[in-house]
Amino acid sequence: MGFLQPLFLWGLVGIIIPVLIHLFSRKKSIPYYFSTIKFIKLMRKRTIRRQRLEEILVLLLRSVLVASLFMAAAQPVSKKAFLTEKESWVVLVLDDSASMSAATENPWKNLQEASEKILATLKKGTHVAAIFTSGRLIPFSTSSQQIAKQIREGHAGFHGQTLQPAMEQAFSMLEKKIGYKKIFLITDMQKTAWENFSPSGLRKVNPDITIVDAGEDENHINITIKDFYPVAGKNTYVCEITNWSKQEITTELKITADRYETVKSITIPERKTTEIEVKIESDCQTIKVEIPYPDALKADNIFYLQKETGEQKKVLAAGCEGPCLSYTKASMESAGTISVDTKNINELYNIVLEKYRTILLVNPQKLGFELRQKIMEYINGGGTLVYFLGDRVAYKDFNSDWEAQEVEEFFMPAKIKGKSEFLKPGRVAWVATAHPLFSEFGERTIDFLKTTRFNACFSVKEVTGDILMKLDNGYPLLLEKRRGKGKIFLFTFTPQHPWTNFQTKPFFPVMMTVMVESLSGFTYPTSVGDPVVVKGSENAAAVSIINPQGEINIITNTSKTPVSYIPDIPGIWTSVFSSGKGQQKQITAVNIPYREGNLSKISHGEVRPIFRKMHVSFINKNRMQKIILAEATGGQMMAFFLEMALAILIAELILSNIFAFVKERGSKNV
Amino acid sequence: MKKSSGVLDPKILVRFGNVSLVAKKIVDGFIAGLHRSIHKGASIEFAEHRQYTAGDDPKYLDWKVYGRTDRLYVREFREETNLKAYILLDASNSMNYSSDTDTPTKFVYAKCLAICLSYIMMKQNDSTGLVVFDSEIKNLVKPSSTRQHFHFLIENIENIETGKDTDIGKTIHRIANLIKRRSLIILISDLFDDQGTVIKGLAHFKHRHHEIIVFHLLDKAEMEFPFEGFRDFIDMETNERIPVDAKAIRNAYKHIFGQFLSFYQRACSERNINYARALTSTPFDYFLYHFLQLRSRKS
Repeated sequence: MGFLQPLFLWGLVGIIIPVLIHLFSRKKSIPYYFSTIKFIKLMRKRTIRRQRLEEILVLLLRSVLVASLFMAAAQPVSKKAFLTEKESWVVLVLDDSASMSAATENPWKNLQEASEKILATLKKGTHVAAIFTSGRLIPFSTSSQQIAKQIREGHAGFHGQTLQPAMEQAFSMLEKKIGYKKIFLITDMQKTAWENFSPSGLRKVNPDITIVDAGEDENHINITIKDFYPVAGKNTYVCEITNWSKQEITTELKITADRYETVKSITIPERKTTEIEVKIESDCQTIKVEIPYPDALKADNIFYLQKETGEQKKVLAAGCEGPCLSYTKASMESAGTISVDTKNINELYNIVLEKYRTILLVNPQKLGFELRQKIMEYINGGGTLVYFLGDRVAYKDFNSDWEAQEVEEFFMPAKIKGKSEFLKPGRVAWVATAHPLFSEFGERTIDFLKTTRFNACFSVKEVTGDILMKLDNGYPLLLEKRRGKGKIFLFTFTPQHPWTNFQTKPFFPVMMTVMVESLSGFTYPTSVGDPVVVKGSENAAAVSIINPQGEINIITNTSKTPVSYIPDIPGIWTSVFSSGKGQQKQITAVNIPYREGNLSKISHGEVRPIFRKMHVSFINKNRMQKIILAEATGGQMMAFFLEMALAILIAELILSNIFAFVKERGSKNV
Repeated sequence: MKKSSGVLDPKILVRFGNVSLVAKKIVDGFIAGLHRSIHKGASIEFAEHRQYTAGDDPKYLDWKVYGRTDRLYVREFREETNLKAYILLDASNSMNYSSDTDTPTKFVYAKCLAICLSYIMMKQNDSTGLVVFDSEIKNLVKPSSTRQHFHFLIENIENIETGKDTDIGKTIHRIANLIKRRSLIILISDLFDDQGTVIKGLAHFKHRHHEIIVFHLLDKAEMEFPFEGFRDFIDMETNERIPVDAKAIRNAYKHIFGQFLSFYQRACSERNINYARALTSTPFDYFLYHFLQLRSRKS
């Protein structure tokens, strides 16, 4: 048996305290003259014997109580007690997400400390593996010192918390092992990481799980730049900042757009998200937004945004093949800055939508559930959808499809009632001239559109978006709605004869180009840990991936395009495609996931049901050492001494009552 | 019997100090007589007729009866004043105990009792003597029925101080040897001595055909042992100390003390000795009345 805190053993000297108390606090008796003591003398021998026994018993109990408390405080370790099975398999699942680098209490340091203690208490020969939530794996080894060294040399990353894959990997590693199986999950208990946490394979493995809470308490000060995106005009941006703390924060917002720098003073109320509008009078490639505030988590105080650097903006067009699609495609490509990929609706299931700036759906047939989900995610993530209604769109399907998935609000700007054909062609009567889509034309927009005729369009109901164009007969022509970070433009007509002659007018290609160019000029930044797909020229011999710190990673095999990589630190990443013709650069802004900034913790009571009837124990950071010890020693040693101390206290209480009772009754046998 | 008046309360005795005065007050209130003489002879009160036998004094012949019945009868009278009584007063140090200031010590109570009894005797023309003892006889006053003797007796009783430790058994034997004539022996003591020796001493008296009354005086605290906590009990006679948790031994003490009391009660009863237990907190008149009533019923 060893001791983790041997200094406490000095406390055993404290055993002499009850002895000293016993010796020096002998009860003083009051002298009393009594007629005769011959009757007292008759019984005194027995009484003295009993009193002595009582005193010795109490003295003994108190000495053992003091000894037990100090033994428990010294934290005895019995390595023999841990893992009695012949073969023991232990997996440490280590959370190295961005939130673990919170400055105030340093959860990462707690994690390292906890890991070392766990490893130090393992029985020799125990197979130990470590899985980092960033994906790094240290395979099973019986050298716990080696693993401890690797953990010691590691650091918290910048990626989001990916507990589920790490836990699933741990289960799969333990699945076929025979013997005692144990998982130590060391995490900061960040609440966002546990949302939708439902690891598979748990039942098959059925390991003992101990969750070590290495996180800091929730009284920290922390602010996060949630988002930074362009709006309305070309030079206006919105910065969304969340203050997670319980107090209002006044600080600065520093914006660096290439060489242009500006500082804005901001105040964010407690537990609120504030939108700050910023105007940047400069055309720039990258924008860095920073809050120089000394809060708990630094990594989430910086946000990067980059302007798309590809020569051509990609648009994905799908829907009914026909003049409408070809008009629209031709319109967009007319400026030469936009390339349009035309796909069949069914092909969209297998395409990464995020690489397109805009998706154009022209008179599409009914969309499947999965595709709708995919499109919704794309829009919410910052994509733009341009939707032309047409003969193939059944209003009932449209209304039910886009409603079923949206609980709070209909996803599209409005529901539709059906096609309305006009006896007298409609003329454009009103345009939202202030809208960036029309801002280039200003007040002259309606003049441009005067010659346009509309013979039919869909009538709408329950409008939740903004109407941008309206006919003189009151029918809206174009509606816009913002969803998440993206936008939806809903045209209530098809740009083809006999619906309208709009497609033949010069305004149409301009409007379509502006829609793609000006409204979505920035690519939504990616997060650390998410794959980045870059597509350069087909004949590139090599691709260099340069991280924000200037480190270069060259990929020579580019037969497979696009090239993908996983950024591990936030900042501006550059991909350089080298070919015989020269170099082509693409930049990608990488930020830490917004949710990492929220350091709110999940309670043990919320975690326990996830593992249902599994044996899950928790170790609080403040009591880490004690409980890891209890865990590592099979929960026996320290608990034994503490229980003993408790038992002695109870015993003394009971004995004192018994003595009092005996005194009260005065045994007749005395 | 009226209930104890204020004056007769032992508390008053403690305050009042004059034992004889209090005793007189007590006795004047209710006295009827302590005993009846067992000797029959010439006296004032007629007892019965008896047939004349040779040797009878012819002056006691009842001629009226002879005239009516033609037989000789003599008249017999009850004699009332020819009793000798000895009051044996225990003056050992243990008698000096009182559990609280409102209660007289056993010795004061004993003195008061002795004076009461002497007064009653005097009223009945009995001769009263006094023996004061502790481990030895301290004072011996021979019995007499004169008023001067009574005053002398009272003075003696009032001036007695408690002395050393007790040796009742031994002293009783010595007293028994001293008293030749058949008498009434009244022992007033706490009887804190070896029970066997005490009873043997009393048996000695009985053997000499004395009538014995034992007044067993006790303080309430001696019976109930009401003390709390740790006490260093010091024996008033020997100065021996004994520290003890009073509460812890209370019931055992009471049990042993109960055995001690019942021993005397049983032993006295077996030997036809009048035994009366008096607590110093009991009013004198109340105690005496009940004792005399009981005694008259027995006689």
